[in-house]
Amino acid sequence: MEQPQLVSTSSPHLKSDMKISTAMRDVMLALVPIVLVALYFYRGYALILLVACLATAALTEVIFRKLMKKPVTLNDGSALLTGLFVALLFSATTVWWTAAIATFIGVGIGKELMGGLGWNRFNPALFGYVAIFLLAPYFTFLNIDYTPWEVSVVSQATPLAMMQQGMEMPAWWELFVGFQGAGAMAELSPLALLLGAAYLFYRKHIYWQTPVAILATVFVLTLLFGANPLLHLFAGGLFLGAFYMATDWVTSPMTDKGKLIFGIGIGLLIVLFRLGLPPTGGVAFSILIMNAFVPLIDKVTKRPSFSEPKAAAQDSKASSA
Amino acid sequence: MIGIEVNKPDAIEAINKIIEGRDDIEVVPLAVKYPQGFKSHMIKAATGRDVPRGARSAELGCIVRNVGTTVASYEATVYDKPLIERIVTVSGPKVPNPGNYVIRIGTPIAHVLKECGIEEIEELEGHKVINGGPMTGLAQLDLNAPVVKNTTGVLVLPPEMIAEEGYTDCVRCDKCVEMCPIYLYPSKISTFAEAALFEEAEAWDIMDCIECGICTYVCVANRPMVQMIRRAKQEIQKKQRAAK
Repeated sequence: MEQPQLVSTSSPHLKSDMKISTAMRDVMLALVPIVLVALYFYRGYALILLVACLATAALTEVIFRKLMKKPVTLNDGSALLTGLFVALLFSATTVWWTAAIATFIGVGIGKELMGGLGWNRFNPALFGYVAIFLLAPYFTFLNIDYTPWEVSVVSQATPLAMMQQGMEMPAWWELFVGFQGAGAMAELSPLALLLGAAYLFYRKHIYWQTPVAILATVFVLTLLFGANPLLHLFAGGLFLGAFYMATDWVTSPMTDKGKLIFGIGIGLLIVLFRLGLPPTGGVAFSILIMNAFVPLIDKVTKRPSFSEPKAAAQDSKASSA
Repeated sequence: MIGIEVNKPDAIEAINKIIEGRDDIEVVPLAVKYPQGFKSHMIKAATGRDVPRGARSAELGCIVRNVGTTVASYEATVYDKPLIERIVTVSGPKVPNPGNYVIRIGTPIAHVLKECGIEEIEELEGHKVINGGPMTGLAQLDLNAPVVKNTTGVLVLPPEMIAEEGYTDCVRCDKCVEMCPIYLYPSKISTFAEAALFEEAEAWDIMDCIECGICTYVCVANRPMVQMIRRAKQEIQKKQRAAK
């Protein structure tokens, strides 16, 4: 009998539609509200920063992949997403090349030189942002700020600095809904970030453990130390950090328990920065520090396999001891 | 005990009617999830008993049988009927007459497909014909291959339903960790397996894997994890045998 040419690849024969590119696209969709808020408050300034970071991210990805003779994976969307995150980490009044250099460092060094997507220990966007934060004091060209003519109400101090200096604060709901003097673009409106996060929960890209652990830790500790917990929740980069940065797949622990420990650790560090240290960049540093602990957290939270019920596990330990 | 998935209320009702008044048979409604049918999970779901590594079901006081085997055992003991046929599910979006058929063992798959309405076998060019189910079945190269005693189904996938092959590095999305029915870390052990780091893979319980394939189904990086794991398990077994 004449045989047709059949496909004989290995099982499983069906696969889920959810791929890396779908997930990255969903995260970008989730960031649309905050991008709109940033464009509403800062118009062209926000736009220039966003375009500069997205373009730099794409270029950096292509250049590094070509130099390392690896296939260019721009269409998985991860580099563009890093670019978008970096832009949002800066204030809209930042000069564009500062944010572009941060993107270059984040995508080029933070991700590609660490082995590419999946092998990076640290969140690439935060890596780039913190690099600029540490380099800026030595390079004056990184420190140029625009003074937009539309923006007359922007004070020099961010809400976090105001809080630490005991200045009079805007109401917490104003910080929550949208506050033009908030600092970084991602800090303009926790409400907009929350909308996007709800979508990510719905699409099952992020799990509740990390963000809830971070927010709860910050809330409880600031309350214990006599600060206003609501202002601490809604000021600064806490929402972006908790829902978008600490939930990054690559740089967070694998299990639910691990994610809780990770979140509590980040929360503790954030409160330490906010109450005892200069608060700017505190969320970024806290997450990066805990990123370094992820392999350890994964190791100590290893769950027993189904074939290793607790009694059996104890038996084998007892017999080997 | 008879385990039936809860999305088949008709079946549960029908069996309950038949066993009414008997206290030695019980219907256990099971959650609709894959891989519910694996032995260790059936025992856990039905009796709550833990199934330790290497334990045989009989040691736990259980024997797990699927419907086909149960019917065959009945026919063999009551009617002295040898195992010459079995019920096979023939399906696929382009099979004209899909269904459950009693098929003689040894029937070529090509013949089965013809009987189910596929006129010209040559039209299956570029399709995938699977002996078994979509998750663990074996894709066939030659349609003269027969239905055998453990053929549960014949599945025909058209080219547009064949999963793509290319894959990238693990991005630690943890979907496989969340889904693994054995509570393993498929992402980690498959990465070890890929790099031939067998000792590390063993330390993370690779040998407990039942190769259900769910990790590979959910993988966002499209990694053929179950193949990597399968190959590593074979290597480890080879080493274990050599050591003995």
